[in-house]
Amino acid sequence: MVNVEAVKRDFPILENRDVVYLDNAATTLTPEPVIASLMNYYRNLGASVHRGIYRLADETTEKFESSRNRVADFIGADSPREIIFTKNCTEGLNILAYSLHLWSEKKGKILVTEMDHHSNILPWRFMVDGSDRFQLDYVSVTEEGKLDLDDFGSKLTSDTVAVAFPAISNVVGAINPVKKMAKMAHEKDALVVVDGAQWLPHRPFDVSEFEVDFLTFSAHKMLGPTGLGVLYGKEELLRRMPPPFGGGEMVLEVTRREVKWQEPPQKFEPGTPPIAQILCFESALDYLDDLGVGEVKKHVDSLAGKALKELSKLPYVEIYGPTEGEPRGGLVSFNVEGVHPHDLASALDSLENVAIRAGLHCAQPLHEIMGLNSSARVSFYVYNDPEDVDRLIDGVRGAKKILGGENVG
Amino acid sequence: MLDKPKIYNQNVMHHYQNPHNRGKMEDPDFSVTEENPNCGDRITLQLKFEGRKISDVKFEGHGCVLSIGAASILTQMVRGLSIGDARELTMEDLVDNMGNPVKMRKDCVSLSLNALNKALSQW
Repeated sequence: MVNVEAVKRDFPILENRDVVYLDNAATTLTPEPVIASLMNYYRNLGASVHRGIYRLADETTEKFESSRNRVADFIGADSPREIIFTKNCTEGLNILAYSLHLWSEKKGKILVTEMDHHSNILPWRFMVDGSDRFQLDYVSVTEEGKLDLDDFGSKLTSDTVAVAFPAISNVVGAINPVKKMAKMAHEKDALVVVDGAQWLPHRPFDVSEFEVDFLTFSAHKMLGPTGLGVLYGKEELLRRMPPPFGGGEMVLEVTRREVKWQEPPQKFEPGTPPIAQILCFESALDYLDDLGVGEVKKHVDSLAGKALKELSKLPYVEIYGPTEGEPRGGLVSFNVEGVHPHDLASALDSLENVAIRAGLHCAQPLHEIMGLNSSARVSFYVYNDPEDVDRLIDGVRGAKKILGGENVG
Repeated sequence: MLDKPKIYNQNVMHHYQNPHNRGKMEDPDFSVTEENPNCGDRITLQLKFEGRKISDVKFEGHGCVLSIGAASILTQMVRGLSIGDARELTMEDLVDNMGNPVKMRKDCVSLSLNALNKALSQW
């Protein structure tokens, strides 16, 4: 069980600011050990990695690669060579689309889903636009915002080059059957790209168990620093992929005519990386492992379950995505009749110091399909407790009283 | 509720609940639709000119208290203005007329103002 009282004390923001933070699907707060680790780099290390012939550089490089090892262990990768540090989840998806565009011998379809975040749609759109080798298709979602697996099965054809989908929808919290979908895709010889941004923070993900080819996620959504993401790829695929960006650190030899790339992951990490962030990400993973990711899952699910239950009791609230009892990944999206989500967010902020997300959540196609202009979203993490849900409900009631029902616009 | 901060002032709430100049115009001189990509709010602003003066203005669309309130207040502000004066209207002028702090919600307020500026740039 997550000891929320103890956890709360580790988060300076919760000490310094009176806030009920329910926008964890956007980014999470940072615990003291991670902040200390970040500071430690600037106070005690300070050197760049891989190049310096002095002790500080050596020590920094050792910690840097230790963090990579830690990430590999965390997701069950075969080797740290399969872990590429990126600036965020989005960059990982862009790297994949760009590289695949260059090296894929197979021509045909890239299959994304209507529930994808824009970051898992637009890189693929760039890839297919103007190309005579690739086309883009979307797996349908049902009216409730769940993935239509029958549609996935029928659109997944032998000419599918890759499928890219979120493990958990960042809007409705629907959990996709990753392993099953990966198996189906591999039967058609398609590559499997999973956007794990909403899964990794509170659920164990084992790349060899789920048999995915690529996985991307963000450090800052799981207690880590901003400016850092991870792209996992199977080593033999990464070896074949050309790098999309050029620069220092990624090459073995450069002449005026020829280039020999480093092996992965260095091949995909040109320039000086975010060293401090990479170092402190290891502390974030330690923190999560100390709590136990399985326990984090239970905790987050129970809060989302309570929010779902309490919001459902309000007759003027409409909830999207999986219904009570169905799998749901740590967040609830909803609308209050007669109250625009932006006004609701402002009201919750003013009335109860509750921070929530309102808008399209970078998933406009999904909102369009569900017939929504926008929605409000609450998402939970390790420092939230049942009282936070109560504050949310009080705030929603207050907002409805002040703003509701008059002019929906 | 007494010690709680107010979310919106009476003026803005009044304009949200009873928007002025809401509707559609027969053959406007200019009609511009603006959308806020963060939330999907959409405002269509229509203008009619007599000479260089804005003789009629209407808006329609869907949005939050601030975007609808601002649109309503803006239409009141521009009716009868010359094109030169209308072009000089700023975000600060609009917010002053609303009398409500907008902080993180500037995009909500600027929706109708952007539509106005686009329409005027077509003149």
